[in-house]
Amino acid sequence: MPGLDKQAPTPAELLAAHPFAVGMEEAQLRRVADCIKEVAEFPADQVIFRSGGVARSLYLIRRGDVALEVVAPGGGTRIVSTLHGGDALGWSWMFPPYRWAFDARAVVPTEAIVISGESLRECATTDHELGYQVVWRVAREMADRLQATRLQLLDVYGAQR
Amino acid sequence: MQPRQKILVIDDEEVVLDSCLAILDGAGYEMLTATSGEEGLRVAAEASPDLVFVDVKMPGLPGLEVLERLRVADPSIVVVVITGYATVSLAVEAMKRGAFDFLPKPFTPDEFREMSRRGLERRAEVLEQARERAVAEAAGPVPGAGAGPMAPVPCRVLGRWEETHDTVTLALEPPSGWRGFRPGQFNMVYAFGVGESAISISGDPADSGRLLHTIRRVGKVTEALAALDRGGVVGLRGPFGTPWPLGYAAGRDVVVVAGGIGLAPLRPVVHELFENRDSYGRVLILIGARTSDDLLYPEQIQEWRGRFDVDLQVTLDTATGGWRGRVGVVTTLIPHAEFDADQAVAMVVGPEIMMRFTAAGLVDRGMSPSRVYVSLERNMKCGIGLCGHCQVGSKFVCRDGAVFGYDEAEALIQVREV
Repeated sequence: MPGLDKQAPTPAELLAAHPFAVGMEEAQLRRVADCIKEVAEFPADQVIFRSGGVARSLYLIRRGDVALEVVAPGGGTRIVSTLHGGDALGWSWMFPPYRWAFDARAVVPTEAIVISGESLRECATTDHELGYQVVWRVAREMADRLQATRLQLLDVYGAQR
Repeated sequence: MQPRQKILVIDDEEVVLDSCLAILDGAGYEMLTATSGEEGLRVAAEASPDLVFVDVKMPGLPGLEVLERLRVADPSIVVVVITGYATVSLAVEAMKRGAFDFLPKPFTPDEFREMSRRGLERRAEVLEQARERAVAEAAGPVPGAGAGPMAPVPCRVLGRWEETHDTVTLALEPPSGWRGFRPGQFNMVYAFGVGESAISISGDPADSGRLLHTIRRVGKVTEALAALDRGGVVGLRGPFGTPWPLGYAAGRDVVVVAGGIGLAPLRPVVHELFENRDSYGRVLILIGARTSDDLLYPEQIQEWRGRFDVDLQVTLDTATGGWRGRVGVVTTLIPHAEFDADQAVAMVVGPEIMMRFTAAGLVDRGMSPSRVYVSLERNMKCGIGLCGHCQVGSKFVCRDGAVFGYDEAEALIQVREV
């Protein structure tokens, strides 16, 4: 019925609503939005990327769960951590040699905004303020995960601590 | 109608007293002032204030001495030390002597108002804890009290089941005279011929027919207890310790965070929250475990997860490809958890490192440390504050805790060993 159709949000609107983009200025959001390749749906158990593959994209997870995994020879697959709606997946696109370090697999049906890493790098190089905003966000994400990983390594439940 | 809360300000500078009165004018408190330590102690004895601000540097009786005497007269009194000579060592000394916090001069009206608000909130918590402790002590006299609090009473093992590869649960027949326990309390459980260990009570407080203790094998006593089977006998003393502040939590969101075996002392809390579900706001249960095989009470967790009125999350430190849930430390659940940080109460148990980072995460979300409760359970031997094994700073964990607000526990955790 005309007038009642609810338009689906555009990728740029989805980007603006994601925690990764909170605090960015309008102009910066537009530039990042120009780097969006697609809003992708991944069915459960679909591999999003594999360790060793070329890291081309940043994935901003909108909903769903993603497992970061590593295959240990003779030990099967180990899940290193899981990421969820609101999290950012993958930063290997930022630094040479632009190769993924882990496998990423959707655990349940998952939706993510896929942003071209190469385009984002170019934007960051030409617009240092935008570059700072992007690097700050990635660094915060990395710092949080580094702390969580350190706690994991402590294996605090493994023995009486 | 609730009586007005009383705030006493002790300072030899009248201009400071006038400022404090002006700042809180119309805020609904009964304000009292004194210009010396001696006068302050007299006013406190007559008026029983809820919160006292005391200047550390005054002629006559020094502020730290006043602080100490106030705390001796009323251990529940909340005292904030104010001074123009703020140094770290003085702050540490004041905290050691029982100060709630430290307010350096000059302070702004907002700082004074905020400190007053926090101090009075702390006072309400302390009084609530005292009330809960009184209820607990009235409900649960020490079994075998006639023989003294150090005499264990024989108790039969009704059942035993393996929880994980290193943890078992014993169901004990409650001893004669047992009048129940409050969530958070523990018993001293004696393996005859081996020794005694402080073990949290892990069952439903409403279940009067059996007393559950979940025991992890970590030493000779727990090995011996875990090896007992149906028909075996243990010695029991208790219940001891401060209960979780479930009364204080009424009407608020409650965040339960359990790491590893820490779920055992929190399970009675979950039972009670569900029993009186309407009395609480949102209920969140965040559980961390090493692997799926180490997860305690998996069937019960499944049952809790099925409830529509609770947000339950489980995360593992490591997992294999078959696991469909979250992987990561339990602290990673906190940033996205939905609760009202301005009023929520958290109850956290796990290894001390896990509790420290969990408390930090909750405080980062905006929670007051005084509303984040942890259970320390360090080195408890006698259960009644007699032997001193569990003494940390000025506290006996068994007698003053094991449940503490994180505003107190943070300093205790810094004590590396007792």
